[in-house]
Amino acid sequence: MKIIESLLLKKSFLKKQFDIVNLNGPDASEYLHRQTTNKVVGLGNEVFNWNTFITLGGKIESYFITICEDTNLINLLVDSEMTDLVVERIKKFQIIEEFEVNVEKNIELYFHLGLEALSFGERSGQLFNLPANISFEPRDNYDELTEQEELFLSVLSTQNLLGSKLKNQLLVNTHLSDIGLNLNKGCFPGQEAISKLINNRGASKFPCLAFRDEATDDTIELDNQFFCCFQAKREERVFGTEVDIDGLLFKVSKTIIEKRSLRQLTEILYLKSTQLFIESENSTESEALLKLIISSDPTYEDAIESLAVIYGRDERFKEAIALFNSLLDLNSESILANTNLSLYHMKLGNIETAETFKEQATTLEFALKGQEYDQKKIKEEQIKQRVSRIQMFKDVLSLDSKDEFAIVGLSQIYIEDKMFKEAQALLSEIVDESKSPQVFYQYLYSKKQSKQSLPVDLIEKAIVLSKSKGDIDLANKIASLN
Amino acid sequence: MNVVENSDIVTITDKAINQIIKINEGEGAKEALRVAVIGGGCSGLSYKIDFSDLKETDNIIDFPTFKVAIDPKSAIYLKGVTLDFQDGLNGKGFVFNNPNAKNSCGCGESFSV
Repeated sequence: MKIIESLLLKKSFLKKQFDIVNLNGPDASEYLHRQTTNKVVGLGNEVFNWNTFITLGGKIESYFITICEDTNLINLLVDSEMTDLVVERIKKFQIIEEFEVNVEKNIELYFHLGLEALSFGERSGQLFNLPANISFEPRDNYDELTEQEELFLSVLSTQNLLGSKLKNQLLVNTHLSDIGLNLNKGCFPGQEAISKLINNRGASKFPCLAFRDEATDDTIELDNQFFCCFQAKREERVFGTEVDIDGLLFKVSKTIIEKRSLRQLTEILYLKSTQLFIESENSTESEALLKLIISSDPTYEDAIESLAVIYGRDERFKEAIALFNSLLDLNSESILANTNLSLYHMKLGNIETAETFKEQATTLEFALKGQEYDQKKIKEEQIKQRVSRIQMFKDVLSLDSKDEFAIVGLSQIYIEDKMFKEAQALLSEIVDESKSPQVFYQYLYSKKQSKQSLPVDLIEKAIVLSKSKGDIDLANKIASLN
Repeated sequence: MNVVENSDIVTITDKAINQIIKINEGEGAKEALRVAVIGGGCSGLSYKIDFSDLKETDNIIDFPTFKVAIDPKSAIYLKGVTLDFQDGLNGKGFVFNNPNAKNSCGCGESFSV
């Protein structure tokens, strides 16, 4: 499934095994904020988040979706299997706080997936690493997600938070550590254990995606490969590593539906919209996509400007002006917004207004030229410093041609300057004897950028070295070179 | 990066291509010729051309000896433009012919759409 397709999915599905636990009273949000792993205070009703109660040892007791309907009313959407646990835990620590706890059983909960779901204005968040919205009623124009599609999304995103299967797992070993944990919000029971685990070596096991060439009962098919989701140990979490799952060999894969911020999601669609504009005879499709982006991510300046320019090209000046005005609300120093507003007001005969915007654009343009001059001076200073750093490393190398610190430092500068052959030549002096995975990475990266084949034995050695130092990120960067 | 045909966004004439090759050799052969739109000039918007490295989101027009890079936002402004080179005594150097431009200034460096 391509990411664009999943962003535009417009699919809904109904979950019936949910209950609502509602906390009603002036202390409800502060109390929950102090007891749970994610933020509750300050969570507006426009978003939902995932949240958990954990044990003092960091294991998940229960997990749920939090929605702040207003400052006194918090709704927790809980899988029915965990409702009693949630209510018991809430009441256990309620001493003087004022709020009532009520449970509504077997509510119908609709999840709507796709970017458009974010524009509904309330209860938006994410599920399966996709934009999602929750409602208690079905919405028009949304197709029903089939069970097969739900399975597909949960496997490819390695993120299935529905049900109660994460109960009793260490929080850091689950995706709830990404989306249901906030370590900046103040203390909560279990925080010390979580902090220790994260600061030590992170998750010992974590959901990963793996694939093989032949199907099994538990795999899903995508582009002739068969995928499954499994809990990977620390040393297995390197792309391409062979793993044994229930007696069958799989290879570890990157997650196909990755976790993305709203801006990362809308950027993908923005690029799609500009491509549509370039390739199509008319702008209807790109316009529709740009409108969707702006309604989901109203502060995306490039999308606003592009739609306004398209309107301007079509001589729809009033619509273009309205959009550029909204752009100025976000960024009053946009030269192109001021310039275009001047041009469009001129077309409409609003000469005085046009002059005002033109003056503003000219002032901003001069200010920009001043900034560019300052930046040029800074760049010249940086170049001077670079030359002196290069000389320093060369002086060291004239005394000891195999000094690892100088070679790594000098080759780093060469890599930044895209002088990959020079970097490679330097690093080849020490790569055979080095114990530093960074040396291997720089050497392999330079070789790859010089379009040379990469020696498999060196890649394997570098991955083993990185893993032994606990640097899984670097091991994955090295694995990705191949 | 999105590879597009010459003429999908801008059309570059043979004369302009030859001149770009000549200049790029003197520039230490940067990755691409970047064509963009910035605010400024007496008609409001200006064309900007310089040599630079490629960015992930660029639209690329691939020529045998060089590439032309256009960022997504500039592509909206530039669709339909022809880049030409005028030499000789009366020549103006690189010239943008923009069929969508409602106004252009005398030197041809700025425009409005």
